Amino acid sequence: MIEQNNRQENEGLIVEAVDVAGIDVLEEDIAAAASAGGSCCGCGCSC
Amino acid sequence: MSTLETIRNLELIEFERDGKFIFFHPETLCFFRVNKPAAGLIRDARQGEGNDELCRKYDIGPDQLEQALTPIPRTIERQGRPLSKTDPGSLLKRPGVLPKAVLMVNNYCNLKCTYCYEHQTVFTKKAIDMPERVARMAIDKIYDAFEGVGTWMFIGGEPTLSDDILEFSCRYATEVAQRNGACKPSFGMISNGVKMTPRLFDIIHQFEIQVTFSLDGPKKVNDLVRIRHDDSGTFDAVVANIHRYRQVFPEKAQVECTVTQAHRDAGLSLTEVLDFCANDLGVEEPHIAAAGLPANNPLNPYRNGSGMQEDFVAAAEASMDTLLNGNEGPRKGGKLDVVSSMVHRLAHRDPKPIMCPAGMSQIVVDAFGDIYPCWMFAGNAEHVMGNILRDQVRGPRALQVINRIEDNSKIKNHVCSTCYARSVCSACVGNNHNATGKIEDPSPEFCNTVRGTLRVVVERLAAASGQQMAAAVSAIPDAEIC
Repeated sequence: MIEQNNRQENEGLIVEAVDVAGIDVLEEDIAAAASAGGSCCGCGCSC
Repeated sequence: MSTLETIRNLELIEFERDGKFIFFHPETLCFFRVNKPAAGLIRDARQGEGNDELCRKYDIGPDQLEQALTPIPRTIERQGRPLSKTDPGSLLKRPGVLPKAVLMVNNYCNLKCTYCYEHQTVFTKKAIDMPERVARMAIDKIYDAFEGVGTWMFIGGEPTLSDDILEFSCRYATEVAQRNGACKPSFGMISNGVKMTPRLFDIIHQFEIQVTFSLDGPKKVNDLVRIRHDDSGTFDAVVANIHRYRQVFPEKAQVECTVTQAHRDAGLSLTEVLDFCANDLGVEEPHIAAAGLPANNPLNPYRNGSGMQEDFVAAAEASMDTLLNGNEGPRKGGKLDVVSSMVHRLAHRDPKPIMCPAGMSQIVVDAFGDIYPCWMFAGNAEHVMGNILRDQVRGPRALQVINRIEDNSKIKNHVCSTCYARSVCSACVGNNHNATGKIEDPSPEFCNTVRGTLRVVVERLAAASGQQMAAAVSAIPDAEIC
């Protein structure tokens, strides 16, 4: 469940996308995972 | 366009429940939980206040303003699939696999349910069983027109009274599918469940026929309306047959309850009906729908402000309790199929462009060979698509009828196009026709009920924990969503 992805909190203002099925993976998260070798086999893909 | 301008132009519906605020985007089914200050900020922004005013009022800088508003357009743009981009075209115009073909195997019934629309149409003709040549021609022509058929469904009249043609149709459809190299079809039947002989059970067993039983709830309501020709109630016979069927196929049994004023007269809430289905019949997700009746019909479920809309919304609350808390929660009961469908569509951001399968993914042939988009139009000349003995499945008359239904998509319909529940609603064009006289005009009470149900579902999901949301999503298999 990725619930914090789209949450912005500043000075008491909270706006958060509700991700019921845990499907929100933003492009920057995929890029970050790839650059960190975060794939299943380390090849850099996002599988 | 700046973020502020985008926020102003978006269609956003605000809900509030217990001091918690939600903004819902109907076109993509994205929704956002926001705290009270942020709700005020978004509201003010949408009402036209500028950057400087907003920054001053909320004591924030321009960057913070941008950061607070950005999740909404960003999520909608990156994660949302707009309803307007979904394809509302009829599958009947394409040669692929047709999801459902329906044979009305007779035009008579052993019951005279007091709200049945077929009294004015189907039952006015001479009673017949579908001749074998009609069934054969229907199966041949439909397999000629499509690469396959997902499900062959049988309805009447009352299909259990015509077991010969039922057996023939199952066997012949299986043979033709095999001969054509098409997918093996499944079979289904909607029945009043009153007369189910050993031979019928043999056919059901042989072809693994999924049966949906029409039962309107506990005995005290069912037997007010679902009656034999001698006025006797049918509850005991139907329930016995549901239990017999469940011994053969425990997972396939489905129940559909048609809601009328009789439920009010019997003093039964829809939540009680829901829980009766789950706890007494083992059917946890019954199809409970309001009868589509003219406003002046005494059985119209919404007649005289009866509280039926509120009752549906209460049943939606109970359904969400069941979905979010599963067996761990205090409530032991069922869930409305419409609520499960909404949760699934919201979870997967999967807007639904069409009202219902009629003429879009389903074709129907009646006992005389007349072709319709749905059995609810049988006997209604306005919606005849041709006759299977004479015409092709995609003849000129068929295309006229299909085109009219395509033009009634949620995006084009004059009522739906501006409704915030349009992306999840499952309106029934047959009910529209029966209630208002036009497939394009749903009854306002139906629409209010759907909006009230959606509001509950969104509010409850927004307040749920991650664990509860995961439980709700996992409780709804994809295959159940129509």
